[in-house]
Amino acid sequence: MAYYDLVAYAPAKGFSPAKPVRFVRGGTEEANRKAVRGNAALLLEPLEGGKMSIDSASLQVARDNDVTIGISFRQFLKAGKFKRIRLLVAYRKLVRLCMRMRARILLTSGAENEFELRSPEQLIAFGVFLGLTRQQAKWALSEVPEYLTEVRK
Amino acid sequence: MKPFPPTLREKRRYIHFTVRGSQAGEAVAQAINDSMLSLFGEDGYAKANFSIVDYSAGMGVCRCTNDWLDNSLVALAFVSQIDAKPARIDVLGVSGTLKALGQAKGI
Repeated sequence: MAYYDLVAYAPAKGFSPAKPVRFVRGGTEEANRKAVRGNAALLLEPLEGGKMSIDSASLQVARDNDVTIGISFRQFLKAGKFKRIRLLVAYRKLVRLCMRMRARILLTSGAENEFELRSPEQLIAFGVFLGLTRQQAKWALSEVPEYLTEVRK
Repeated sequence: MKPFPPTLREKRRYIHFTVRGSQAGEAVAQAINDSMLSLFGEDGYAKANFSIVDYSAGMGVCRCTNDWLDNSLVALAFVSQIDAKPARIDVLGVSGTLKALGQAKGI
């Protein structure tokens, strides 16, 4: 899956990461557990179909192994009406759990084409919608990606 | 009629947005209203006091209450199709008055 914002939009605007970010797509319990124990920097879309497939133990391991939990707006955009409701419930739980376990959260549009891109204001509002404070949402959108591309080895 | 005291008036926020994709006015308004209603329902829509103030040629301004600004921005973000064609709505700025929005964005 090609992420439009990374492969087309960001380079066109003059942004290029200092080094590539190793990311893994989660979804199932097994995939999430494997991702937080492996050498990936980012676990993207850890919940699929509204099922709570990541627990506090995995988040604790993620925090210790410096793995960031990525929330993609595209997942919500593509979901149907009832699937979106289940996703909202699950992701709100996940955000609460991440805050409790002090795991790092990243917000992304996860766009595959230009129509799926969203402005920073909208993504910050989406973070607040999921239960982050405005400051945490800003952090998840700006500081965390910067940390991932520049600091993490 | 005696006007509402300033302290009891609801604080409004004006959102300046632009539409990428299909730009027909009626369809854009319909898509935004559908998104607001499906996410927050009639109760939420009423609390947000949401309305589209102005729209022309792919650019527009909508209004909501201060408390519901984030929710209104999310509703705009959830618009993915207009007239059954892919589209997106970008937020260019938010302000407390139309005058300030006009000065900042040149509208």
